[in-house]
Amino acid sequence: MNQSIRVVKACFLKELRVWQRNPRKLMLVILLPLMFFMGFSLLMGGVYYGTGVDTALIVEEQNPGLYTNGLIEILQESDPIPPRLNPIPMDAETADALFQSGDILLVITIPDGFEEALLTNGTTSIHIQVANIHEDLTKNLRMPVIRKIDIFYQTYLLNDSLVDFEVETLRPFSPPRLGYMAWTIAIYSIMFSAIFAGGSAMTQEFEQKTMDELTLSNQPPQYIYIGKILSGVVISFIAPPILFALSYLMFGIWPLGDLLTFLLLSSLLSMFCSGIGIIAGAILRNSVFVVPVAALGGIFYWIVGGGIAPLELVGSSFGAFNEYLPVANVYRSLIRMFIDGSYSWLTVDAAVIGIFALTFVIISPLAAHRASQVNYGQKIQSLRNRRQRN
Amino acid sequence: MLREIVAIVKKDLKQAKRDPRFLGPSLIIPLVFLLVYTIMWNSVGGGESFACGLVVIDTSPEANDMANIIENMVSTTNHTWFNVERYDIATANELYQGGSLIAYIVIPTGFGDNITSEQNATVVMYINNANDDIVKNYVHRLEAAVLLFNQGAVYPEFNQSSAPISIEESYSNTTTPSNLSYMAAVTILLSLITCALASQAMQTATEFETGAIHDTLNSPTPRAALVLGRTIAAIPRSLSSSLILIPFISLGMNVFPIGNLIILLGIMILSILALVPIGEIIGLKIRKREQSLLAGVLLSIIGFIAGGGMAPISLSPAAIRAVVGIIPITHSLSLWARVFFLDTTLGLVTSSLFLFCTWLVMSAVAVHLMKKEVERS
Repeated sequence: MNQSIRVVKACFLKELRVWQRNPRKLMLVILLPLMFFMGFSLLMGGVYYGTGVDTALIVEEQNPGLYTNGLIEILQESDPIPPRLNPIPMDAETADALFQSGDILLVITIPDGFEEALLTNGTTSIHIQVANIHEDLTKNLRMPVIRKIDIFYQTYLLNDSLVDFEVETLRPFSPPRLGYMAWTIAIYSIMFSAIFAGGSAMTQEFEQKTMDELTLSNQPPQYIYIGKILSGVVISFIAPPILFALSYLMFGIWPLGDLLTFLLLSSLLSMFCSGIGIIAGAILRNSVFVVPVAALGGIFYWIVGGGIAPLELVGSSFGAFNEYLPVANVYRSLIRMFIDGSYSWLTVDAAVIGIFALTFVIISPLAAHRASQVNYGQKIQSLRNRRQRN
Repeated sequence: MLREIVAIVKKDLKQAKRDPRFLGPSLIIPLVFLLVYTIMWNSVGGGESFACGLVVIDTSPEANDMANIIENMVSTTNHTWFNVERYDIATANELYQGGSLIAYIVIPTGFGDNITSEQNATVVMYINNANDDIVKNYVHRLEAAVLLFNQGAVYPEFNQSSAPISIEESYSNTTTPSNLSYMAAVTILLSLITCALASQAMQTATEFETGAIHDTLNSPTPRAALVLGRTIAAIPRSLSSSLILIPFISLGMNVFPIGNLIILLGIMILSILALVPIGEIIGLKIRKREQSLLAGVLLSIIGFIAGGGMAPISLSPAAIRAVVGIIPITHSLSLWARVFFLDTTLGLVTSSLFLFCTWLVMSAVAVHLMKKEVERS
């Protein structure tokens, strides 16, 4: 076997053995994306699941009839569009106390004279109190009420509801948002694990003071670093199958597309990220900084790459900016493949990430080798000392 | 015992001064979160303006009224609900099918005629239903526009007074904190949370790696004094990270607290008290600096996201809130967000008590783990 391949293989196997000896560290790499997904499920799941938003319903109308009862019925009806309301009838005093203490966020009051006004073609109003503690939350509280009133118009006030609307969706099935996020977090996990594994493979050499042994081992350093990059690629593929399985178990959905395309794009992404990881590890030399860099670099690109919601939501300017980022390219193609099973941008996106991955596999070992020979922390310290002396 | 506590506090503070790297994660994490959020929400027009195409085929005044409502109706933070771009039907459809346009609304021919002849007129929305959240957001917005039209509340006044049923709204706060303001406010606390948790975990693990922990644990100092001293030392250490961020965030993002500053400081101290012993436990159990840090960062980020750091969790069902309520970060965030944006002392007792009890329980666990460590060594 060629000597260079032997070095790459030896270093690759050594790094995998290090991971095998550190099951706790490996567990953390798997757990971070999983807990990230669980965190988002807990944060956002409430809007989609459960009995609905507890809403204080105050009925001041003394003579409820067709309209009042109809409105109450509509408010209580289950709605396919979340968030659902869960109206709890109560008196005004209790509702106010609960609203002031923050235990209830929405109060709907049907005033006295509501029935009479509608019977006599007069005008009336319903009063809603909203805890506007956050822009998005306020929207999610107000919009279901607006929707219910619109349904009331379309059902009971036909003469006053001449306009209605129809919705045509692009595909027959809308994937659940959390299922969508499980798929995109799988891409995040590849990115995070690759940066972390690459970075960690470098920082451990500095922290265990074995860097000099590596440098003086008489083996070409670039092949040692390529071995480290490849180990990062392997580690990065541990969490995604678990995330896909979770999304299937929780929501009964499986991403569309084929495994080969997924492996092609994600392994190129992983190579690119692992390359970044070893450069970061060589510069930072300290796991204290590599962990947040990997976790947050991954989150950053997860969000701007369309992990929370498709980028089309934000309009063309942001999309154009993103088109030049290799990570966003992978997100775009994989998201399209997962949802539609289509490959419209695959060639362009695979080419972009391919160029970056190849470049980083070549450049990273050289850059990491250079960076490992310069102690930036010490340089900064000596600069500080010199300034103090002056 | 007091003298010993003071000595431990002094030692820990000296150590923090010598090696300020503990600030790294507690500054990097909140700033990156804030950066990501700023990019994301600024690009979507403040969080509520969703990109949408509009095709107005009908030329009647009614169609014009409907188009004006769609283009100009605003959220509570005065952002238009839709970020509308007008297209002809062929272009809109081409962009939509190609994936460049996520949704578009068509006001068809005969829309105005139908209304003047008192027949039903229908607006059609085409949505790329990549997930159900997109469908929810677009349907809600269009529904609001349709209701406004039916109420006769047209642009520019949006006056509902002649509608059979109008909606009168009142709010708990005078202004609605935007998604960005909320994020900026809780970022200050995120820095403190990360510093309290991750830096304590890292410090304890570092003492394991250097072997210093055994000297400390085997000294005649009571273990309760050790835990207490380390917790007290973590208060200025954790506050320092927030103090670095506060001017940057307040001035840079124009976000200032509305509630009482002393209560906010109290919430910070309570949060530190509850989280530092957890960091201590992480360090005592994991013993390796890198892994302790990773675990500390992981717990901070996940606790922050699940506990309502990116948006309040108030809409979640009680069962989910109960699960998330086990994490002290959830209580810290709920107290912080409430007092930051509202000058109130109501609704603070339960979470404050929870944080206080967490401090006591977790300190007891840390003392127990230290005892076991001494026995083992």
